Amino acid sequence: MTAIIALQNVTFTYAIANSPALRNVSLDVPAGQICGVVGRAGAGKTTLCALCAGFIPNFYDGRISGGAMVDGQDVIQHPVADLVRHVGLVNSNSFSQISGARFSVYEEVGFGLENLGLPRAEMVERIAWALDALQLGELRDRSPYGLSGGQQQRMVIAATLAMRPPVLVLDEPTAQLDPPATEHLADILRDLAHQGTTILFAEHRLDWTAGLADRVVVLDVGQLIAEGPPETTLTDPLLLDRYIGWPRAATLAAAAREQGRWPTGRPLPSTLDRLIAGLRAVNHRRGGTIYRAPTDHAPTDRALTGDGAEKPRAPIVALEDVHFTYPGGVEALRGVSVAVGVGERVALLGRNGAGKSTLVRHLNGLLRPTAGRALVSGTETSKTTVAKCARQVGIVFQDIRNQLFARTVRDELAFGPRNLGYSPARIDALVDRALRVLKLQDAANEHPYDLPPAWRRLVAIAAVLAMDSALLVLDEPTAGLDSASIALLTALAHDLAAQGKSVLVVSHDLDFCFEALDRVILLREGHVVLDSAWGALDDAALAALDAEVGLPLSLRAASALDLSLDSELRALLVSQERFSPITSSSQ
Amino acid sequence: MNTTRRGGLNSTALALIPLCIAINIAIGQLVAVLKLPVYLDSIGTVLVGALIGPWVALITGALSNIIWTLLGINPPAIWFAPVAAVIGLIAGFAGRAGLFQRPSPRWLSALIVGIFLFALALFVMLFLNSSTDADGNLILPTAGDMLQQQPIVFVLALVVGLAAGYFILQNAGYAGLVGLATGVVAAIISAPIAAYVFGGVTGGGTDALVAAFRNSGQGILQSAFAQGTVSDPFDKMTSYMLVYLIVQALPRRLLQRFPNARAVEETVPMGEPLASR
Amino acid sequence: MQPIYAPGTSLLHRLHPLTKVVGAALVIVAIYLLPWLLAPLALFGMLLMLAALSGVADRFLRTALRVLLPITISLFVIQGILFPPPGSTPISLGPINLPLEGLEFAFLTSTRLLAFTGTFLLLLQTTHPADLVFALTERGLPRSIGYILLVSLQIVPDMSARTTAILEAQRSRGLETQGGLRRVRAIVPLVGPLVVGALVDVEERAMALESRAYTAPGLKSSLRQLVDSTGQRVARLLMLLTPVSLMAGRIALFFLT
Repeated sequence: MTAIIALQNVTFTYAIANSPALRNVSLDVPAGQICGVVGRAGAGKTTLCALCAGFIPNFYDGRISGGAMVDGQDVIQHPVADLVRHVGLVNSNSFSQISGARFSVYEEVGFGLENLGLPRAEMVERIAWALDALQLGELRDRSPYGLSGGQQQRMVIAATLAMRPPVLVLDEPTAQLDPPATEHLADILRDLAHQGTTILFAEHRLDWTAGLADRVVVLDVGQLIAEGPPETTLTDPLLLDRYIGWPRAATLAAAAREQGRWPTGRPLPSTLDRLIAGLRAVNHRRGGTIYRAPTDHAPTDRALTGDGAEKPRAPIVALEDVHFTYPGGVEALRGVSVAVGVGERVALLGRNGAGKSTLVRHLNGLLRPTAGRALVSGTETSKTTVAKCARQVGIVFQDIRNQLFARTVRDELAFGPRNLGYSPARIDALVDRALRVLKLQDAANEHPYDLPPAWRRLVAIAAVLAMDSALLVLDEPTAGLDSASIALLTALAHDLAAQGKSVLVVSHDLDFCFEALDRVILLREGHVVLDSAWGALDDAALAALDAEVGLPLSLRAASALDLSLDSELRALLVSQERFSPITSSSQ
Repeated sequence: MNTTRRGGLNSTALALIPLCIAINIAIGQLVAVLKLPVYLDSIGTVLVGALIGPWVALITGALSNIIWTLLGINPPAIWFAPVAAVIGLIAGFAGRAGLFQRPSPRWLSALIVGIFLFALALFVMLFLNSSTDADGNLILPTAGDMLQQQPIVFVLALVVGLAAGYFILQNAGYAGLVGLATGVVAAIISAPIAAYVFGGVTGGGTDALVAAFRNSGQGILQSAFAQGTVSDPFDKMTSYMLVYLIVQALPRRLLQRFPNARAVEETVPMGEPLASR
Repeated sequence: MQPIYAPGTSLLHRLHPLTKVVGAALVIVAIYLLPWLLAPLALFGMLLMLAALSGVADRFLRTALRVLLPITISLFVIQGILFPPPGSTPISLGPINLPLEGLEFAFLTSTRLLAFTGTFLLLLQTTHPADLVFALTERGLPRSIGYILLVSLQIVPDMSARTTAILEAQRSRGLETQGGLRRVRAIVPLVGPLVVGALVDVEERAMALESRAYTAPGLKSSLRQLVDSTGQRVARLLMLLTPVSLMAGRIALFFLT
């Protein structure tokens, strides 16, 4: 079968770069295949996606050699407008891909068709098909700007597919999505592939890639270093050497294997199902134990540091029966009482709209309670300014574009401490330490926007870290990060707690929350429904958590295996002392 | 580079202009919240001039005022569309000359603002001290007389100007100079519009200035012009200065994409210019 | 910021956008060319009636007054009372002497502005922006200009929302925003992310435009359809001729008096 995407020895260097972004890349993708591209931040995934859609070198200046054909078209020669019927590109930031010239989802999906000059009857038919394929039927009359992130993403895909390209290229499609939207997207992409669309996607989320791709291709420093089916490619030790990482199922199985609890000779799993199957096989061989519902879960099973017991010292922040109603009348917090003490690592979980952002804004006085008290280091937030609270509480918000403004990383990091009035010597020390902790020393004099997006987020976090506050609050810190950077954040959380500082993370990434943090607060409709250590969660609590936001992969495996009778394996799975293939000595 | 220039507006320009129009409005409103004595409502227009060119910036300025009207924020704003257009035009030529990327020595900036403030003081005092004789003719005091009678005002103007130029404008001297000039031009063009359509007032704080000028017996047009000359140049100088700082703060790979900014940008390691389609 | 368009089914809503545009142009010409003192106020009254008939009177009145109130006050105070044009006749109102010509000037200018504002408000409240731009594009407005107008309309609220988010983020890093000099120094860390963040988006937005074949050559089609009628076409023609006759009339008046 002739390949629908055929790259031959492509080498490309950006106009302002010193070294090639792609080196001698050759890739053949047959029609109807879902091909996933993985690699570290800056490995060339975005360049590869842009190339396949015709943006290189017509949109991104640079020098190119080699051949690239997609759906029979030479994507190096033709401008993008000529290629839209053959290949479509979707980026991770769906907001900026909305044209803005149309006021309803229906018309937005049809915008490209209008530009192609198609007759109305055909446009109507194609739009109907696209809306149906992406399950947007109910939203057709809504404004494109009134949709959630996941809905916007689907709309952009629909708008791209309406032009009927046989090839769809997606660059980090799940970066801005929450878990339900992520799963929904995978289902939709699978359906499209069944109907004949070829899909090429670049991703950092290896678990998602493992579950979706027919085939995986690995990029490192612009070169293709491995390819094959996900089960073998994503568990290749080469990925650990290059600090790309493995899917969590594989790291868990590797940990089990270390302890002799994984069937010998069986390859490491890339998905949860394969992990469960493998662990079950081991348990079966151990005498065919009958599984029944566990009755108690002794916290002592866990190899945990800290168990959420009462902290004797005064909390850094405390919310006492806080109610908050927005001026428009929406009651976001209905009696929240929460305290974060010294050395704690807290995960704040909840669905969209549960009140997490509102709660976070009470931690430094950006919002003041309409009833109840919010205290920072014993002082009520209503009696002080936000800038003063920054000494104790540093917040990194989700959209880091709203934060970055300096010419160099170093200047960006110095902004916070400078505002707090520290001496130049102290500022330098804090900046250097933040650079070191997040491994940004080499990038200290670079412009933050010249760095790959994953590193930009690390810069934003470093900038707030440099303020040396007692509590560091991170809002969705793992969005768009690669495994190596996530490992850095995990290490950061542990280090901060060891130093007597605290960390609070709002995140949909439950695996990160499980591995980096020790306490869970679950918010639902403005109420705290759960506030406990990971290890102290009983079945009811786990079920509640699963119903609201899901579970980390290891807890899901543990509950699927019903391992009350095998405390060793259970301890292994629920232990937060993780066999981490990517240690903090990476990068 | 970008494909197919269609009437001078390629996809990059089409993507930039609405954002800059929105920047005009957003910063204008932010400044109102911060309660600063400037408008800063043409930063986006000047930015388009700095990055792309005069005619695109002209369109941006005109459309900006039209959008103010279309959004219902301030319908009479559409009357000043020509002023905004001219601001864009001048900014575009300044951008083409690379003035947004050439730092100036600080003493030069000090000198520029100092001289300007001195001239402005002269102008204002002229207005305030003029009188009419029995036949209704305007009698203007000579510059020499004014300097002798009220030297404090002029010395103060000069000193404040030098300080402002040195500490605030700093290295943005060239851009600031064009900003001051743009402000004067803007005042000249907007005065007749303000006089005829608005009776010379704006409904804002600057009306106190208008009152002061009228107090000295000046007509509406002259008062509107005088008020404009006092506030517009500083507003535009600040805008140009901010755009200078912004252009300095942009990453190289972004500047590559814009014709005006790219012209002066020399850090292309590979050295070869790339032909655009 | 609330969108100004208010959907409805009144006659005004259903008219072709061009008819309304031409009508608005006619009204504006009348505002500035009719020589009678009360003309602009009368025109505003007519607009208010039309607004009531179209069901948008409430917002119409509130927006018009909100925009005009500061200017009206300034006008009356400065040009009307304090500094009347020289040689004006005073009216005695008890102990105060009010200059007649000054008050007349203030009255005329402010009612003209009011009627001008009202014309635009009524037009925009009864016409969907996409329809308006589409109608103009059919008659020769360059497609790019129309595109820019529509995108700007939708992007401005988002940009304003970003300034709030930027304020939050930077205040959380210790930036003080109270106090004179601090506010000046706060400009760069507040304006910087706004502009740089927007410019970084430019690249992706331009890519999206290309991906939707905006730059593809050839005729474009349209999903939207506008309803027009012969009656409206005739009306538009008549309305276009009226200002001409108005101006001719004004000139004639000038020569005859």
